[in-house]
Amino acid sequence: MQVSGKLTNEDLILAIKSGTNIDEAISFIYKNYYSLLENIVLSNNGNKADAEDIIQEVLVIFIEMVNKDKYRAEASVKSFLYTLTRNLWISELRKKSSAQKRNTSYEDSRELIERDISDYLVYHESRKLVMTLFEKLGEKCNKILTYFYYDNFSMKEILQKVDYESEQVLRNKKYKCLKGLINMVNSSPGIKENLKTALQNGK
Amino acid sequence: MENENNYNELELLDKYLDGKLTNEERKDLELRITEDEALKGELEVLQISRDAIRAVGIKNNVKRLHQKLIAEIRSEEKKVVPISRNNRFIRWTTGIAASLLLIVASFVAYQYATVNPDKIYAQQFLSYELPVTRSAETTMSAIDNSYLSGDYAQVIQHFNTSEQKSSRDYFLSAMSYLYTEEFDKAVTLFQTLVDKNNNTQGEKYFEQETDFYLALAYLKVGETAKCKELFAKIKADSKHLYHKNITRKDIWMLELMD
Repeated sequence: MQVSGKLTNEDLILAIKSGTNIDEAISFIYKNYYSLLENIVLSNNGNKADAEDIIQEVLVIFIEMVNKDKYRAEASVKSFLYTLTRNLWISELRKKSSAQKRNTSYEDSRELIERDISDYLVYHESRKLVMTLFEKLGEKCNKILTYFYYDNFSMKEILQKVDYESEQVLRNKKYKCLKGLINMVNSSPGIKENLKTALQNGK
Repeated sequence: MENENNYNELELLDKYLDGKLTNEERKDLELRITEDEALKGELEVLQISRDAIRAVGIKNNVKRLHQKLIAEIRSEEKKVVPISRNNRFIRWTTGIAASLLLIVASFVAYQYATVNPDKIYAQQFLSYELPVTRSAETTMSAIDNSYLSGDYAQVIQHFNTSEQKSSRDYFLSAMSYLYTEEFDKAVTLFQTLVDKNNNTQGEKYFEQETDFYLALAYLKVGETAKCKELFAKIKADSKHLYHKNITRKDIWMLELMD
């Protein structure tokens, strides 16, 4: 492993928020917490491959929650990840056994799982379909929209990476791609209602 | 032309989400959003689409790093448990297999001869850790805090004086009775939680945890048959959280005692 030294919770959060040291944060989490998180899945009817999938998903959700200020410093990163993994895996097991879905209302706000995590998982679950649609959008659109919204590159920076003659052409392409994705979302049956609930939970 | 207009509208919404509109443009758009349901819907879909694009970006980055890091983790696991396949090792293991078998057989015989509820309880009992994350809307209750700090007598005191009791309070208090070794009271609270869950159409809380810990509490109050019944239920359900904690041997040992 390349990571040396110990990162505090604050270091980890800063590394994720900065965007530039995110790889270091992920490496640290793998080195220090992977086996703990893997064990949650292994000791609850899962295998190593299940654990790999769940832990990657946990990291995506964790990074997003940090970026959206939904991670609170009162909980250590370790226990936050632990709770997130346990809840995501339990929800996965429930899906497998076709038992109750997790997006039922909570009678008591303190019950069983923390509301922040549980709400975000409802949101994530509905958004997964949009993620799948985006992945089907085609390589060119995929690349351009990723540069804009994930990498936060400027028009000028993107223009150096793609083969378009002007900013105006690139801008048109961006919105054409975005419109394509939106049309796919709009024509997916039943998705709109789901998204409404999702947005309320994940904003 | 129609497409171009659509893009203009989309660009406007996009800039709105980026906070790049002038005050006047923003106010104008917000007013239109409150009046135009379709426009509001368009904004919502754009919002989640942008978020999904970012999430896929994070996912791909995590996936890329995962492939590298998991290989390192697996290779370190192998270093910790070296597997020697040389002949000498195999001959050596074969040589002592018979002796080991004898030792294991004696051990198993001893286990069965000395089986008792306390022993099974001690083997099975796992401490239950409360998740310690927080949210904006919720704060940790006095019961949560006392449980987290291991002050089980205090948990019970809070429980007994509290007017509104949630399923979580019942569960943590029943666990506290296990820790303070008041097993009959633990049984009563766990049973109340089972009844609560049976009588609700909504989400069932701590259902599987209660199966497990109620079974253990039954052991301590001499209700071996009830414990066996719950162990068998857990063992029969491969999706049960505690499925792997119960072995056929445990159930067999309970049969011996019953």
